[in-house]
Amino acid sequence: MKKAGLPPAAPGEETMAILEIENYSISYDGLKSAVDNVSFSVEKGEIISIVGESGSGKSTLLHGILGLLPRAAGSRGTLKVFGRELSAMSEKEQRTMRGEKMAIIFQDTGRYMNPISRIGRQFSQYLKVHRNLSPEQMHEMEVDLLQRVHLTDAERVLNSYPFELSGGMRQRVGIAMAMALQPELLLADEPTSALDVTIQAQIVRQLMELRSKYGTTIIVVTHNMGVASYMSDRIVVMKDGHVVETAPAEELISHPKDAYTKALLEAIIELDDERLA
Amino acid sequence: MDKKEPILELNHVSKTFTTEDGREVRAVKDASLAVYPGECIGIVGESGCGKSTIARLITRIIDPSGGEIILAGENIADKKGRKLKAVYRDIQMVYQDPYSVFSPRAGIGTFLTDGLVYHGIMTRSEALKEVGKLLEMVDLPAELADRLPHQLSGGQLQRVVIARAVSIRPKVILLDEATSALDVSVQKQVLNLLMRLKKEYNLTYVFIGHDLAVVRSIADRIAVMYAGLIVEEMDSDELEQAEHPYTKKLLQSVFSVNDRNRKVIPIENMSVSDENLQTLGCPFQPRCPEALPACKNACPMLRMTKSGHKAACLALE
Ligand SMILES: Nc1ncnc2c1ncn2[C@@H]1O[C@H](COP(=O)(O)OP(=O)(O)OP(=O)(O)O)[C@@H](O)[C@H]1O
Ligand SMILES: Nc1ncnc2c1ncn2[C@@H]1O[C@H](COP(=O)(O)OP(=O)(O)OP(=O)(O)O)[C@@H](O)[C@H]1O
Ligand code: SF4
Ligand SMILES: [Mg+2]
Ligand SMILES: [Mg+2]
Repeated sequence: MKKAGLPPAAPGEETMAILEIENYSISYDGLKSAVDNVSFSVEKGEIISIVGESGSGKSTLLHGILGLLPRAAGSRGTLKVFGRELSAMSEKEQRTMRGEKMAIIFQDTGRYMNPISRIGRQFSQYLKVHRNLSPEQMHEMEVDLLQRVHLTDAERVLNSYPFELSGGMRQRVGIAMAMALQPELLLADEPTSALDVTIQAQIVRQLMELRSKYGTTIIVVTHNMGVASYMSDRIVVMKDGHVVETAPAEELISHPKDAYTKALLEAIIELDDERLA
Repeated sequence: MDKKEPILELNHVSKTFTTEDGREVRAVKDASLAVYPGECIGIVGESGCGKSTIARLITRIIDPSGGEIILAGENIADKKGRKLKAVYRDIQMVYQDPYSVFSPRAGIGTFLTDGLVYHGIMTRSEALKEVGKLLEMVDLPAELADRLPHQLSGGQLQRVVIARAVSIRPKVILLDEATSALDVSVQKQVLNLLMRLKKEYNLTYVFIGHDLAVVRSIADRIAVMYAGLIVEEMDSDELEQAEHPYTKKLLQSVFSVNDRNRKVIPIENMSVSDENLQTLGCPFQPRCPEALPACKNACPMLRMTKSGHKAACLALE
């Protein structure tokens, strides 16, 4: 059983690629590529944001990294996690890795929940697979995790069916579950899109704390360019299945090179902008 | 803007859900709000504070537990059954996930004309002749009529949903996080489209969202909700002069691409005790940096402040 995450790399210590992607493509139907010839790598302890067009393949890529693509989908190219080629691992090895080393916050958490089972039950089932805890310990852990994502009325949430929670409450249940097992690699697909900005800020802070305390590597997909710029070391921009630009966050924001990146940055609406007429 | 008679008015509306195991969830406590014809009112607020519940009450998908919902002078709060059909025509709703409202096998043209046919405005064949115009209205090519939903992007589909909503000329269109799943570039296109349609057809919007800058850009007025209550209401231009402590906290929490590394996010400890949850006082009190001793015992009412906002806060009285 995995203990707490690894400590952050000391300065000067050799870095290690947690994720290496090379000429990697994914197709759902064998015809069109949803992810098209993508290459980039992520070092241990890095926070990377992926931004870009709706439908450009961001979620597909995350599902590919986790080995969660539908059966009919096919992938080509190299995808190595923790130094091992994902496609060479057995289903069982992949499943263990998903629980022990990697976790995902799904974009649409609700869709991955069982609609007729209470949140508490689903949470416990998830924990049971990976941790040997008594029901009381499990309950305590769940309450604690939910309160950390600011679901203050944790008992009520655990007793609710998914439809009885608001979109943002379901999203936070997803965040709590993904953080529960202290993964070394956390994939977060629009983790704060349904949250008010005060709670968004708290979640962003907590994600960044995972990195500073445990050296967690994080890949965040977001449409919120402010969040991407605030929390990430590097930003990857996707359009139409391709990566059109990758750069350190500050550089990408202040000196975008690609035309699409520029267009994206120009479309951001800020609080002090003129209102639309 | 015609400020005389609201087109939609909520008077002390509340909604309490009772769960299977008998617990009561007070999703909306006492909401009053007036929406005037031709305006866009934005609603922002805490996640879980009751925004979508308000939207579902106005569209009468669910029944209110108390209060009045006045649409064009008529209380629709108690309407039932067949009488609701007229309400469904007058109020249209656009959700965050456009894929969820389409049936996967029905073509775009059929989807677009469903509203017109259901409400007896046109026969199917008459309506199908209008499809090209409806698509054009939202800047989409007419060929899309024959496509299936999964062949369109999220942004394209959201335009189709908007076109259908506008097609039956409703009195009010509710947009519940309608642009939050879109990238900023497509989002801006959809917002501009909404603005153009609003002017062309004198539409009235209720726009729910979490992105303060986006809500401010499209809304004429903004209502801020917290824990089932409206806690502040002001003109959009006044947002940055917000007075309620929660609204101020919202404004401080926005990430702007321009202030990388400058913002320090203070830790908020949220493990609120049961005692706090049961409190009779201001619901924001456990998180409020400006709380007074009295805030524990008295729930403030929404009142006009000196600067002309409406706010519910004891410190502003
Ligand atoms: N299960 C699926 N089967 C077939 N096609 C799919 C499936 N999931 C996604 N697609 C298609 O793959 C492409 C990429 O979709 P994906 O969801 O990865 O985009 P995204 O970048 O995450 O978009 P968004 O920002 O809107 O979430 C799209 O054209 C989409 O329609
Ligand atoms: N059918 C239901 N049964 C019980 N409780 C419900 C039901 N629907 C909503 N609630 C509760 O009502 C409250 C308000 O939910 P609502 O969906 O209106 O929030 P919201 O403001 O739209 O939040 P978000 O920003 O996260 O979408 C929440 O506490 C939620 O759990
Ligand atoms: S009433 Fe008191 S606790 Fe509530 S917002 Fe005002 S100052 Fe804060
Ligand atoms: Mg996605
Ligand atoms: Mg909602």
